[in-house]
Amino acid sequence: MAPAQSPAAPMPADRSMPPLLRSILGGLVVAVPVVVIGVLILWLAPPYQVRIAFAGYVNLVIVVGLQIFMGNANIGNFGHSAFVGVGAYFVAILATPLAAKKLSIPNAPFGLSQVVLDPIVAAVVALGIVGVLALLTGFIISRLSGIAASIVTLSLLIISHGVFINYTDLFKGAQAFFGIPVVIGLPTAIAVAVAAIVVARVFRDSQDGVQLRASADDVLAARAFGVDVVKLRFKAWVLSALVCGAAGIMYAYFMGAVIARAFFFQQVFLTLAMLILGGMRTVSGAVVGCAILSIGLEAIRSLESGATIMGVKLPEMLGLSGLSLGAVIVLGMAFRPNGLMGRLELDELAAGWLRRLRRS
Amino acid sequence: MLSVEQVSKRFGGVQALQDVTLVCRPGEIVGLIGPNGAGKSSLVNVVTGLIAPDGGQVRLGDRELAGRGPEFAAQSGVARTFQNLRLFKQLSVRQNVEVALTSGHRHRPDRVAGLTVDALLAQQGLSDLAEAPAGVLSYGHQRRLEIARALALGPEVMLLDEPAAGMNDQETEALALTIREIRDERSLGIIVIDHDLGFIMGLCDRITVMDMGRVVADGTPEAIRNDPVVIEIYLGTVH
Ligand SMILES: Nc1ncnc2c1ncn2[C@@H]1O[C@H](COP(=O)(O)OP(=O)(O)OP(=O)(O)O)[C@@H](O)[C@H]1O
Ligand SMILES: [Mg+2]
Repeated sequence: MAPAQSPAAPMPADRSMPPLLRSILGGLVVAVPVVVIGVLILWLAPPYQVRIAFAGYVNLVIVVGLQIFMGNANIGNFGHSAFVGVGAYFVAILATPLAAKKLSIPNAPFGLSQVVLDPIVAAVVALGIVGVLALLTGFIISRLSGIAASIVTLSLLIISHGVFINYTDLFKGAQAFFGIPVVIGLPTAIAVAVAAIVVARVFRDSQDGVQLRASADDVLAARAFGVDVVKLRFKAWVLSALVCGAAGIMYAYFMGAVIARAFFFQQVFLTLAMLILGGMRTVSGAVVGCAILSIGLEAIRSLESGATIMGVKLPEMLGLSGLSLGAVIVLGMAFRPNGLMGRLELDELAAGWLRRLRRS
Repeated sequence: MLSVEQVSKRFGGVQALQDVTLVCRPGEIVGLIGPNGAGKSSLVNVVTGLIAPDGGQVRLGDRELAGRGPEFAAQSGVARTFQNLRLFKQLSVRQNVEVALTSGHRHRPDRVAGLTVDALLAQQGLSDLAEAPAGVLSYGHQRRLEIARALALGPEVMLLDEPAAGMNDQETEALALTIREIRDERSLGIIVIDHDLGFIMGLCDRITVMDMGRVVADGTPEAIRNDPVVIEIYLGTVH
């Protein structure tokens, strides 16, 4: 038999370690830059930038959630923001103090205008509602493939937005829903992001995750080896929705207000672009794509409003960020369909380099 | 024991299978030969549940498999390799085997009790490539990985669809050795399809010949070699 070829560079994984521990540690390694950047921001950045950074961490949790289903099942998902919205709106409905509720949703059904839950209890209930909706929608989506599945996720987005906008008694319509208790700050967001990364990584490396990725490579072959593709897609869908729901809850508890259009196309495309740029096959791809695009877009936004670079006053370039986002999706799809990260996680790459270094 | 009885399958205007009957006992290597389009792969697809036959039965032991889907066939102990190589290309070699080892034994934990990924890879000479993505392997290695993956199911029956295609003489010889070794090690039935008659004649206990969807001959390699019908339709002008 021929020896291993170098493009296939054997990637060592420490097989003496129990697999679960290995996945958790791997996830934590990937989360290191997330924590470092967060701590630097907390330490150095002015408050308005902390607010921007918080939005970045919400996006990170969404992208990681998106990766769980899209990356492992290889099915395009345009509906994840529906779960972000459901999470955000239900903590708004459940945890907002009565005085604010009297103004925003005085006619809420089921006596919800009279109910105020502790923020943590409200978060748990909201996550439960996300879970139930994920179970119901997952039942359909897991039985579909390819374009049909993607279109259903898209209609999910449209439906959720329609409900948020039109069911004004509960969701207050197109206006912002104010008065949500602001109970978390950036440190909580960082912690949730780390947890999301570890959860996504553990799922990816699990038997279910590997089997689901096998079905993404070749669904017939996977079925011929006994893989229950429908069940695995279902699991990934529900887990993905829960993580996205958690992102929505975070958003509401930091911003103190939610608005329906925050959970619509713009968010869907931004987070999709992040995942495609970084590479959807790995959790590292989600993290890298989110980091690069968040930072890049902040730079571009300053250009948009007409920045001065080295004494030269640049003109206003409105729409530049939208254009860049589109460009990232198009160029990414065209030139790096697997994204920046490809098929290996950051820690797996690092371990490979280390081993080659030691060998030479 | 695998028994295929009176199986038929039509694709549009093509009768891919017509009343095909075949058995494969534990510990037996059965060759399946016939010209291109004879229906060999279609038969494998029916047995492994990827195609529901129009009629007929496929039984493994006392379990009916026909029309119950590929997952059920796999769970029941039917494993295969693919003529056109259908590995999980983005997964590592190791993970390809793991998938079969972790998903295909729900009804038969005892069949996979002694199996490990490392031993299966070693048996197929793939240990050094364990962490490589399956998609970058050479053809020969990919065919070997297809076999390792099939064995990881802990099968009662294994169907190898042209496992020697693209291999040189040396590799083909080594493959024949491995297949015999597998048969001796575990009591499983093996059905081998190939166009390389030397390979099939040397390897198999019994050979079934198909043509235009039908079984046209069935017997020992010796009998098949001398069967006038086989010589005419399969070997054509060869004497
Ligand atoms: N899924 C399918 N849909 C339509 N026609 C099919 C399908 N599968 C096989 N056929 C047709 O059935 C016939 C038998 O094909 P099959 O692949 O079983 O032959 P084979 O004996 O394996 O040939 P080869 O030696 O070339 O692999 C062919 O005419 C083929 O075109
Ligand atoms: Mg064939």
